[in-house]
This record gives sequence, structure tokens and C-alpha cells, in this order.
Amino acid sequence: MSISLTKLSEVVHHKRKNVRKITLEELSGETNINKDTLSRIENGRFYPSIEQLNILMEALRFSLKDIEENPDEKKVFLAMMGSATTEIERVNFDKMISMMLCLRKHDRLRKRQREEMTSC
Amino acid sequence: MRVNVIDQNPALVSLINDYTQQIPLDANFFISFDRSNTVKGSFAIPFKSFQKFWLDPLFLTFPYLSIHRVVINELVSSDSRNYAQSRIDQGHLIVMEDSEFDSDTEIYRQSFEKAIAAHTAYEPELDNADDRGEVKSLAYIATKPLNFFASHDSRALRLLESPTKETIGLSNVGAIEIYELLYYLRRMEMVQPEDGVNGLKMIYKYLYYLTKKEKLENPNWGEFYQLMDGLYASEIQKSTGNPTPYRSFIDG
Repeated sequence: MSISLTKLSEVVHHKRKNVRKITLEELSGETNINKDTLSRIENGRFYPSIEQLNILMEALRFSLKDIEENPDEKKVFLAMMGSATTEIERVNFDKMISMMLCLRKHDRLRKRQREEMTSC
Repeated sequence: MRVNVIDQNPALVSLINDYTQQIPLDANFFISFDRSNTVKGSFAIPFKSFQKFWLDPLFLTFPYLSIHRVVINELVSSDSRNYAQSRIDQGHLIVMEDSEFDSDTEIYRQSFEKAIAAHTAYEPELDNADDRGEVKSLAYIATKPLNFFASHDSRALRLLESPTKETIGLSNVGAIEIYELLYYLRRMEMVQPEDGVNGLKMIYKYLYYLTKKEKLENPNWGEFYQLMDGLYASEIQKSTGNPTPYRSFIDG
């Protein structure tokens, strides 16, 4: 299990604005987390420390389950690996998965670069 | 690689203020410097000199140096591996183990690992060797959390110097580079007065002042030391806790 930064930003924004109905300043006062940092968390641009995350979970009443990353993608790769019946098949699956991950990484880096250029 | 003698590094300032902080080291801190493949006419530094002028003063100075378990496994040369292992056995080198974390904290560690890995060639799902040590070390540092990562790897350093670090849990982690530690070791007199200082100078020249390009970009050792002093001397004077100089170990 791992935490999704996108889900975290959505949950924090939703809970603060729609459930607790408080401003960033008020949440900052409650949590002692800088207002700018909170704003960046809500925009998915800041990964909080464990301490900050625990404080936020308590203040906004959500749990790790709410911000869990969708594990489906990983399962697909693992299922492919597990379905190999011969050594040659396993080696070829390895190569194929490695290429797929490489392409995925390339896409991710390109997307991030675009985002960074837009925010400049 | 370029040296920065213009801006203060907050990580080095923090280390000057408290040299007893834990400093996680990258594998390249234990691997004898070798530019023979990239710089024509240069030779690798023999491990004995590397140990005498770099590793031993480093361990004499900083009480809480650490290394990730995965990084130890990456040390291929027997000299590096034996040196690290003997320091671990003597209790001078802390081994950072992911198994230290309980199940809740492990979720955070894995999350940091995934976020950091997205910027490197390491894929946690495959557990491939590329950048594995660097990613595992940084994920551990973000989880703990620790203040520094000492590395000579430009990819790791780029990651810690880019704005991206905020989105991968490393916002409070600073990079410490070899030249900064060379300055600190010299300034704190952590090496033998004659031989040792020349050893630090030799390492500086080898790593940062060897090629024509480096000689244009970087200052020579004397200028470097003066410029670094301009940046950090006042911090050193303010600092209340300093390591015991080398001379004191010999004298008494």
C-alpha cells in the first residue's frame, strides 16, 4: 500500500472546505502547518512529512485508507510475472514489463516536466 | 562537477552548528575516486590514500555516519566493503534498515520510495539495481526524517536541489557534497597538519580541478578555501560544539 498525492490533495481540500468549512488560515492555526504549505498540499505540490500528515488526519478526520493509491496497475504486472510457465517465458515477461515500466516512467516524467514549465 | 562558493548551503550550516547529527552516506563515499575512464591521463586514487585522506578523517570527525543496508550490498570492491563492514563492527557506522519501521510507518516509507523512484531509473515493482541505493536511502531519510544526504552522485544531488523535492517528501532534506566536507575537515583541523592537508588538496584537485573546463569553472584549492571561509567562517565561530582536532588525538 502507498499514499496517493492526488488523493491526499483532494481529501484535504474536500474535508477542509466542505466538511469542516474552515479557511486555510484557520486550518493553519489549528495544525501549526504553514498556510502556504497547506495550499501546496491541496494543489498536490507538496508531500507532507509523517508528522504533518498525522496532524492533518486528526484535524480533518480521515485515514490512510482514504488516500491509498490504486494498486490495480501493480497487480497487472505481478499477475503477468506469475503466469510464466517456462524460464524463457519468464525472461521475456521480465523484458516486456521492464519496457512497459520504462514507457510509463517516460510518460510520467514528460507530464511532470510539462507541469513544471506551466507553473514557471 | 562544479563547486558552489557563492551561496551558503543551509545543510552545511546546520552541520556546522551540530556536527553530531546523523549523516547518511551514498555508496560513492566509500568507493575510491577513479576518473581514469573519463579524464585522459588520470589515474585512480589507490584505496590506501583514499582511506587515509578521506575515509579516516571523515570517521574521526563525525560520530553518526550511516549507510543504508542496500547501499552496503552495492559496494562491489572488497576494499570498500571490508572498510564499511569493519566500521559497522566497531560501531562507527550506523546501518539504516527498512525493517526498523512498524507497519504504519512502512506505508509512508513505501509511498516516499514510489514518489522518489518516479524521478529515477529505479522501479520498486521490479527492484532493479539502477539507482536502487539512492532511492532506498532517500526514502529512509524522508521517513525518519533526517536532515541530510551526503553524495557525490549528480542525479541524487540534482533531485535534492530541484523544486521537485517538495512533491516527493524531501523538502527538508539537504545535500552535502564532498567539497563541502573537504573544507570542513580542513577548517576543523581534522587531518594531520602537513600530510593530511595535502591529501585534502589532492582530493579536491582530483575531483574538481582536473580538466581544462573545471579549471575555468572552479577555483584552485587556495582560492576555494578562502571563498568557503568567506561563506562559513562566521558560522564556525558562532558554533559552540566542534569536533576535537586531529592534533589533540596525537598529543594526548
